[in-house]
Amino acid sequence: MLLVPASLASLAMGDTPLSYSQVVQALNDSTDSTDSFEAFIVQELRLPRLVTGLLAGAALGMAGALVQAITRNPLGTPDLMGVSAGASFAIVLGFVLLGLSPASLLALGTLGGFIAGLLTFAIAWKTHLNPIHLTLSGMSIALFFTAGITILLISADADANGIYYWLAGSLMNRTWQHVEQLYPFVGIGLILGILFSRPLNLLMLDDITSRSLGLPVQRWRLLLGFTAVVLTAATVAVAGPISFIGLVAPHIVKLALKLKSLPDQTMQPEAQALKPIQPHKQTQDHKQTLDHKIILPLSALTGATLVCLADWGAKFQEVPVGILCILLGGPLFVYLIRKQDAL
Amino acid sequence: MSLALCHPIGSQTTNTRSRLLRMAGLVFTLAVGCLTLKQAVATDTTSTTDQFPVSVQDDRQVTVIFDNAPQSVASISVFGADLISALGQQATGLSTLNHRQSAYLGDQTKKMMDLGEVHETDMERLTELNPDLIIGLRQYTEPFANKFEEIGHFMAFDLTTYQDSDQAIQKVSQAMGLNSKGQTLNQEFSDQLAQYEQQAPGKVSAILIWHWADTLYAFYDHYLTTDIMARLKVKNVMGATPTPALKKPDSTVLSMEKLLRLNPDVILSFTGDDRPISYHPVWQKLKAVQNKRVYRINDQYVMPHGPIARDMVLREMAHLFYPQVFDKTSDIPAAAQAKALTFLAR
Repeated sequence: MLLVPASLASLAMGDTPLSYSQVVQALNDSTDSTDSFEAFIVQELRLPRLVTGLLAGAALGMAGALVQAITRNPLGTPDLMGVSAGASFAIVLGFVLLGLSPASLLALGTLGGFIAGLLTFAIAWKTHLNPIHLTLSGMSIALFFTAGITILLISADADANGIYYWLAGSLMNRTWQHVEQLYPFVGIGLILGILFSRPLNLLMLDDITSRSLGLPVQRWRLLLGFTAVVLTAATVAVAGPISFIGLVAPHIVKLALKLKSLPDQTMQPEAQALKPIQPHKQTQDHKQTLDHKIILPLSALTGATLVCLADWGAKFQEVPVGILCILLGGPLFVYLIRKQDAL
Repeated sequence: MSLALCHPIGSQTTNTRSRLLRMAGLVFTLAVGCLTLKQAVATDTTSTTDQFPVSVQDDRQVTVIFDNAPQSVASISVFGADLISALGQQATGLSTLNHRQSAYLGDQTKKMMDLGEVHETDMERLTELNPDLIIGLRQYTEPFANKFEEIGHFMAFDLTTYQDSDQAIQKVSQAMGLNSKGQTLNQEFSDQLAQYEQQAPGKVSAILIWHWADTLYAFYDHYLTTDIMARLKVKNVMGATPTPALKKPDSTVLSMEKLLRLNPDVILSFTGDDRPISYHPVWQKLKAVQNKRVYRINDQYVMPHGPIARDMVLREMAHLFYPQVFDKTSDIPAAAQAKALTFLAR
């Protein structure tokens, strides 16, 4: 509901004030966008920024839902896989030591995220990707790369302090080039996530039950974890590490679904068999549905909306959108926890 | 008669000649004296005109007492080395920016000990150098102020505005026992600014930017370089800081959309690659890019507070903004000169 008005508001908001009608007119302007100033502003500057934000938010929202499911940790975030730290480290390394161009930095960042994710899985592999070990491995990898970033920043040139702006997560000056870089990863990740929602439901069970239902747990956890890695790595490379979206978006969805409980008939048979992991009380009137076929796309949509709203707010003072996400997501998360406790 | 008549005349002539000779002798003596004095000043600039001990308060409000004129000066940031050079001496140690010595000071920096990056001084080397005076920027030296003070007399400055520059020059000159020389340096620059202001035609807009990857920053009006721009009747399109009571921040992040709206005639870009953010569609639409008036500038523009730097910045900017009025400066080392950048050939 919020996504469309938030997107429109984001397109209207900027250094050059535009009315909503001007935005719509500029969007419909099929002539060369360089001819009209408004069309250029909207089509070449604000639209790619918006699309980048939407893709990043969707990717982080879905990645958060995936990580929370495969680690069975309601506080799970893509950051816990070490991916954000790995991608950030690669980008900082690329700039500080190698002096790469922005385009090369994007590729290197994505690669760094993949490597960090693979390292996390490799370390947890011996324990059959046990959720706790996976979480601990991810945290270790994240800490390792965070330490690497600190070392690089300490030894960086004095004028590299602009890096802090990027490290806070930013959508400023994003172009269609960034969108082109991001959308294949996000598209593939979103499709994979939705396609694999059934095994994801089963992964929510304990490993013994899942195996007794014929699910190759380790393989699916690896595959779904890799999907989360793909989604996160590309996002961090393009927009920097945007925190909280991956954590908050799935919880908003779960809470919303809980408040508007879906009838049990709408659930998949496997999902009906689930005993959802809930840190809170459950009443008969409010049964939570944990069918990831619904949660994943809704988490993606919620993530996209949150980033869109945060970026709209960020444009007022050109602060990094990641800061706004934390400012927005932090209190929201506290509210959600209290709301869940109250149920 | 004629002799008698001539004698007085001859006597008068002799007197006149004698006077002329005496005057010539006096002039010669004075000239020799002046030359000797000039030579003495040029060769031995450590000779001080001020009485020691001298006490000077730096921008931390710390009073530093000098019993003698400092002979060895370490400069944490190029400002100190610049000023000491303008005072006729040479700093013995200098920090680097981006692991490079500032090119605008020329070859003299090769003789100075490398003290590491401006924000992370190599304390071991500094201790080894054992300077009488350390001149630093507060923003980089504040956490280690005690350590600097253990090594030698330490003065730290906040260098942002024109006033900061004048005050710091005056204070260091005083510490060096060359108070009047410091006053002269400031007065000369003030006169030079007024002279350039008079000749500048105006009607030019510009922006001073630096960037990290695709994040752009632009300097506000109160920074010394942009202040000099204003004296040259150039409008800094970035305008004034929203927090005029504070010197920092002196620059702020700049979106490409804003840059397009501001669309200055001239862009001065510090650091980065040869074509900063050239992939961005806005670059091609900028007046400065289309008119090939984007220049990559050097250290002296972002550290302009020394007497040599600000003089170079003034003269070079005057030429960049008004090439038809002001000639290109020839005394700036090649590596420190502004270079035109082009973005049209991608």
